[in-house]
Order: sequence, then C-alpha cells, then structure tokens
Amino acid sequence: MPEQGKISSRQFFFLIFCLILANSLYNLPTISISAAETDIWIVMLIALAIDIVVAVILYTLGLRFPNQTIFEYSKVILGKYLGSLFAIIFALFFLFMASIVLRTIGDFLTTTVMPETPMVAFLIIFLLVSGYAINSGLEVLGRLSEFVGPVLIGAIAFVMLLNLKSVDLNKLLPVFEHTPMQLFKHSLLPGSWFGVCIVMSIFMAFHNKPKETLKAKLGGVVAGVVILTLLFLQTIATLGTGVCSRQMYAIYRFTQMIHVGEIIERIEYLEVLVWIAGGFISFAILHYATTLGIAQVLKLKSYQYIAWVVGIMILFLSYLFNNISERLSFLQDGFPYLALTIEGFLTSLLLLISMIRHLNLKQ
Amino acid sequence: MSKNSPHHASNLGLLATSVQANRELLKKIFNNSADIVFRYFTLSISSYPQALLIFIEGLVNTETINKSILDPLMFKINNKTATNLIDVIKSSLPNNKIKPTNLFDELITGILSGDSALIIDGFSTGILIDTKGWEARGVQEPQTESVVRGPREGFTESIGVNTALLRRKIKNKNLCFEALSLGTQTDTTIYMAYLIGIANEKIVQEVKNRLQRINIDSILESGYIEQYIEDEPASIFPTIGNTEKPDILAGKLLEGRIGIFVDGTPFVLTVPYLLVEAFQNSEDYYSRPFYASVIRGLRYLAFLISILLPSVYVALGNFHQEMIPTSLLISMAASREGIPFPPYVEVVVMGMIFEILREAGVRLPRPVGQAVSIVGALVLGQAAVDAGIVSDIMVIIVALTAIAGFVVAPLADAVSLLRLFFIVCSGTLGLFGTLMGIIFVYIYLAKLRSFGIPYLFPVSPGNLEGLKDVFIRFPLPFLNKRPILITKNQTKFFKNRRLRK
Repeated sequence: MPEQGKISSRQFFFLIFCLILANSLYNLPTISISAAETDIWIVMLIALAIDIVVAVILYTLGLRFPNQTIFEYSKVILGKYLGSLFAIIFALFFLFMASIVLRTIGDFLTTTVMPETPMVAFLIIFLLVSGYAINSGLEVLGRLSEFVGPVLIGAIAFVMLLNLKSVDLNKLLPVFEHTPMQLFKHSLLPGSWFGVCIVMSIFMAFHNKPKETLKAKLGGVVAGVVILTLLFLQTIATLGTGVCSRQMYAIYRFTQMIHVGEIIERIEYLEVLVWIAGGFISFAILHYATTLGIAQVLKLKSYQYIAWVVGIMILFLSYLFNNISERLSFLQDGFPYLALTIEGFLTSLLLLISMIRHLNLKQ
Repeated sequence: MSKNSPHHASNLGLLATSVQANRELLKKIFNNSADIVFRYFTLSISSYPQALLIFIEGLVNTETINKSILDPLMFKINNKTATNLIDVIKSSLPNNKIKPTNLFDELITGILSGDSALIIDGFSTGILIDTKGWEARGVQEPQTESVVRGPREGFTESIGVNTALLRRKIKNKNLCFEALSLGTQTDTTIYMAYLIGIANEKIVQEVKNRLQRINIDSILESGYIEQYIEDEPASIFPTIGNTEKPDILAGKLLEGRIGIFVDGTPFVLTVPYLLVEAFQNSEDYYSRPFYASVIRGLRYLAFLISILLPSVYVALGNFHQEMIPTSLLISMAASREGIPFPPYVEVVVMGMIFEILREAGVRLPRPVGQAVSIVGALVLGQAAVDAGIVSDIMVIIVALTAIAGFVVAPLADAVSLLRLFFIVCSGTLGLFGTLMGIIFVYIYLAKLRSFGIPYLFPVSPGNLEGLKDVFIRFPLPFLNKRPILITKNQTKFFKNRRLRK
C-alpha cells in the first residue's frame, strides 16, 4: 500500500472540518443566499442531512472492508473491470473537485486582494506546496489540519464577534417563505458540495480507530455546517439578502465591515490568509485523494511521482472554465446532479451490491 | 569499549618478565614521547627487587604517587616472605582503584587515561593504579544559560565532575551511565545517561546503535556526535538539544530523555529534542506559573517577530499598502522618500550588516568589542539614515528582529535562515507568499522527527496532557504526567490534595 501513516480521530475531525468549511466561503454563500434568502439555514440543515446519509453509507462500507479505501473495495465488490471503472470515476471526481477548488481560490485572489499578479502564479505555488505535503504523507496532512483547523475557527469567531454591533435581526425575516420542494432543490448544491467529504472513505482506511470514524466524521461535518450557517445568518443580518446576492464574495464583503476603534480595520486580508490556509488543506486533501486513487487503481508501490502528474492535470483542468460566471452557472445547474450521482448513487450501489453478495471482510 | 578503539585494534601481546625488556618495549610503543615518565625504584622487601613506575606527566596527581605508591612501597611494606609479591603489593597500596593485568594494551590504555603502571622485575604482571589528577576548570556559572533564579553551577570539561554534578541532583539507583569510547585517534570517553524505568528502552537502544555506528577519527566536542546521530542532517532545525547546566539535564532525564556526556566539553547532548523545548526555560519552573506563562507567550511572539517581521514589512510595503493605517503609511512614505533601494534589498542588506556586527562582537576581545558597537550603532545606524541610504523604519525593524532572534537562543541559527526564506517569499508574492512559506515550513516540521518522536509533539500530533506545558505553564501540581511518546512510564506522581492551613 502506498500510504503507511495512520491518522487519529482528532486529525480526522479537523481534516473533514477544514474540507467542509474552507471551501464554502467563496461562491457557495452567494449562490445559496440568492436562491434561498433568509431560509438559508433550512437549506443548510437539509444539506447536512444529505451528507449524514452519505456518511453512514460510507461508514458501513468501511466497516465491512477494514483497511481498504473506496478504490480497493469497489474492485472487491464489483470485480476487476467494473470495480476499476468505479474507482476511476471516484478518482476523476476528486480530480475535478480539486481543479474547481483551485480555480475558485485563484479567482478569488486575483479579483479581490492581488489583482495585478497573474493567477497562474498562485496556482503553481499552491500545487508545489500541496505536492510536497502529499509526498510527506497523510499523517503530515493530518498534523497540518490539526493546527490550521483551530486557527480557522478562531479567525471566523473573531470576525463574527467584531461585527456583532452591526447586526440587524430584522433582516433575517421572513422565515419559511419558500415551499419545501424549493428548499430541497436549493439544498442540492450545498448538499453535493459538502458531499465531497466522501474522501472519508479513504481516510477511514488509515484511521487508527475505525470504530470512531463515524463520530469524527459527523463531528467535523456538523461543526463545519453549524459554523457556516451561523456565519451566513450573521452575514445576512448585517448586509441583508439583497446585498449578499449581488456580491461575488458575500463573506469577504462581510469581513470588510470590521471597524473597531481607529485601529482594527482593513484586516480582511489577514482573514483571507487564514481562509487560504484552510483552502490549502481542502485542496491538498482532494489532490491526495486523486493521487492515491490513481496509484491504487494502477497498483503502484508509491505515489511520489503521481502527485506531480496529478498536479499538472489539475492545473490544466482548472482552466476548463474560461471565467467566473461560466464556473458559477455550472455550479448551479450541472454540478449538484453530477456530484450527487457519484456521492450518493454510486456509493449506495456499492453498499447494496456488497450486501447482496454478502461481502464482509470483517472477521 | 567500542570496536573503533585504537588499542583493541592493535594487539601488543603479553608483558615480559624482565623489567628492562618491558621498559624498552613501552618506550618503543610510546615513540620515546617526552611526557612519559619512567621511575625506577627498589621495593623494601628482603630480595630488594627492582620496580618501575610509568605515568604521564600532568595527567597524574604527584602527591598521590609520592604518598600512596612510592612511600609505602619503598619504605613501609617490609614483608619478609615474598612468595606472592603481587598480592603483597596489592594489599599494601592505600589506593582506591587497583587492577593487575598482563596485557600491554590494557596497560597503555590505563597510562593514557591518567593511571600509573607498576611493573616489578621478575613478574609478567603489571599493576594499574588510579592516580588521575590534572589541572581543570572548576565548576563555574555557565556563560550561555544564565539565570536570575536557579542553581548557578555548570558542567566543566572533565566528564567525572559532570557525572557527579548530575548524580548530586538525582540520588537514584536507577540513574545509569553507560560508557563507550569513540574516535580512532582521540579515544574520547562518552557516557550515555538515563533513568532506567523512565527512559523509553527503544529510544535508549536506538541512541546506543547510532553512537556505535559512528566512524570518526576524533571527537573534540559534543557537536561532532550531534552531527553524526541526528535524524535529518540536512535540517536547519536542531533535533538534538544541548545544555551546560546539571539542573536542566536532570529535568530532561526525569522526563524520560537521554543525556550524552562527552569528555572535554561542558555541553551535554539531550535526545530526543522537540521544538517546544526551545521555548521552555528552567526558570519557567522555578518561578510561579503566572508570570512564567506570560513570558513564555512573549517568547513565541519574539520567535514569530524575528522570522516574520521583515517579510511582513516587505509584503505590506510592496503589495498591500492599503492594510497600513493611513497616518502610519504617510510617515512610512515620508521616511522612504529618496531611499534608492526597494524594501527587500534594504532588509537583506541591513540584516547582513547586523550579522557581521554580531559575529565581530562575539569574536573580538572585549575592549575592541566596544569600538565595534559604537561603529555599528552610530556609523551604520544613525549616519546611514541621515545619508538617506536606509529608512529609519527599516533600522527599527532590523533592530527589533535582531533582538527578538536572541530570545529563543536554541533556534538562533535556524531563525536567521528562515528570515531570509520568508523575505524571498513575501518579496515575490506578498502575504500570500508568506502564508505558503509558513505552510511549507510547517509541513517540513510536521514531517521532522527526533529519534522517532514527531518534532512538533505535543502540538501536532496533539496531546492535551502535553499542551499543559507548551503555550502556558500550568502550576506544578497539574504537571504530573511525563510526555507520552517519549516515555512509557507516564505518571510522575499522583495528584494530592493541596495543603492548606
């Protein structure tokens, strides 16, 4: 097996937490708030529920195939050819997600804080450091997340605290303006976006206490979603749904509101730095997942070189969308269905077939 | 003794019976070296046999030789029947360590380490008598780790004194010293010290293996050993600690670490060494926890300032002027008016000048050192600003950075390299570059290990018990666990209820 390391429950928690939280600070709030408006919290709860279902499916699968990643047990369940096809689909999905995440961060940096620097410079530096992290192993990634996770929580709490004075609770009304069907439809994007933590099916194989996986994973997701929901609600209460929907980066606009005394102002770039550190972890997780997937499908002994090859693939794929609006419209219209098919349907299929075939490698 | 020892390598055979023959052979072995003393005398017993005492001038205590070897043998033994002369001599020498041997190799090792060898005509057995005693520096307050509160004694250059200093701190039968000697030419004595039952046996074995693998001709300081046994020789971060003070060493051994004494240097190595140890100070534990915790926080801050401040200044000045408050921005712009160099060139040049001044200050004799500091402060500081070569903000930044760099002394050399690295990062990509640099360094540190222990422990991998002594120093009754991973035997003591009146 190419990966030798083990991660602890705490590291598992923070990996999932960073993956959920740090990715959802850029475009997701704008899209979701403009769709669901003040009912955003219901949408987030439905998305959370979708994700919990996926988590339970993958946890059950992980228990049935201890110490195996999703790439390995799809082959056990579906046989060599069909299983490899499934594994490749999952790996490609991670590859695709990684390139979307990378491009999102690149777009964000060039449109907000550093407009004069060419985007490719950010992307390449990101890929170089991420490749280095991956070649250092999952353990190191876990340790990094253990450090960045708490900092991320602190940074978000800091912004929310300093902006408390401009909250207007009336802006959170009305509630239940949308029909349940509409709300469900709007929750597909956040649901599929959070569903990216099907990478838990990879981490579970390297978890030192696989029995605690579900606890750690649900903890990470719930903590991430709850913090996000509170942040979104406060953003709406501060800016109003109208401003939020018109902003490209609503949360960034929200952090720009900080003015305390004459001293603490214009600190949004510091905040952004913490987000990017979190974003780095979520990108590195996806980069890692793709790399490991390809290495396991090809049955390689180590993934040292694959990481760089995958990095170059991600770099090219991230230029798939010509501009931000193309990417946003894909996120709204195509992404949820594609992602949920892979995250929900394919994983349930795996579980179902493994149950029918009575495949259970646990003694 | 290790296989590298020079005396084991050569096999010189057994002693001859004739004292003359032995003397000639020894002279040849020592290449007629001038500091070897051969002293002939006759024993005061009936047959008056001739005896020869061999020792090295300066390595022995002459009083011991006169009073407890020559005096009894020449005048006092006076034994009638010399049936077993060697036993008679052994029983009449008032000396604490005596060892008969018939091997030349053993005899020579003894003589070289300060023993005296006694050879008697007609016997092929020599006697090694402990007469070690040489001029040595006394126990003094060390220069590097000075304290306001705490013991002031420091290790010396002689290993016997050093082990005694440690033994006086830890009066415990489990404190164990393991000896070996290294260096094919110097044959330097090395002691590994650890507490049995507290130190992790696996790490002890690992240290022993690494020490035995060293293949080197000379060990002149413990730094030689450090560079041979560290996990990552290419790392700029130290993965082996050193200390000059017995109380600090005792503290580390009591947490399960291992000390490596090297004869001839007051610096004792401690392994495994983690990053947090650089921020811990013996005085943190001797003074009450509140102020100690604040000071510890300041140390982390100083560390961050010393590696990041120039880089942040460059990033703010070059890329993100909007983050600087307006009034400060105006005064900064005014001070930079007419400066010919961009900020990163200024930072690098001023940093280099500071390093030159520091190096000069350390090496120069004290009276000249003052002249250097005047030149540094007045000419390079004030005059350079007045002449418009550097901005005065830059002087402040370089000065603050430099002083902060001394706060965390064990990391001082890593800090100056990291500073340059971060200036390059921020000079190219602003704060984003700095952030990616930080992540890079963090990944590097997370990967680094010291004798199998993750270097960033107990921060990541996180350990709540260990975190009690990282960023703040909990009161001593709470610090009742030894660091997990380093030792298997974790409990220092069981918490007892606080004694109140």
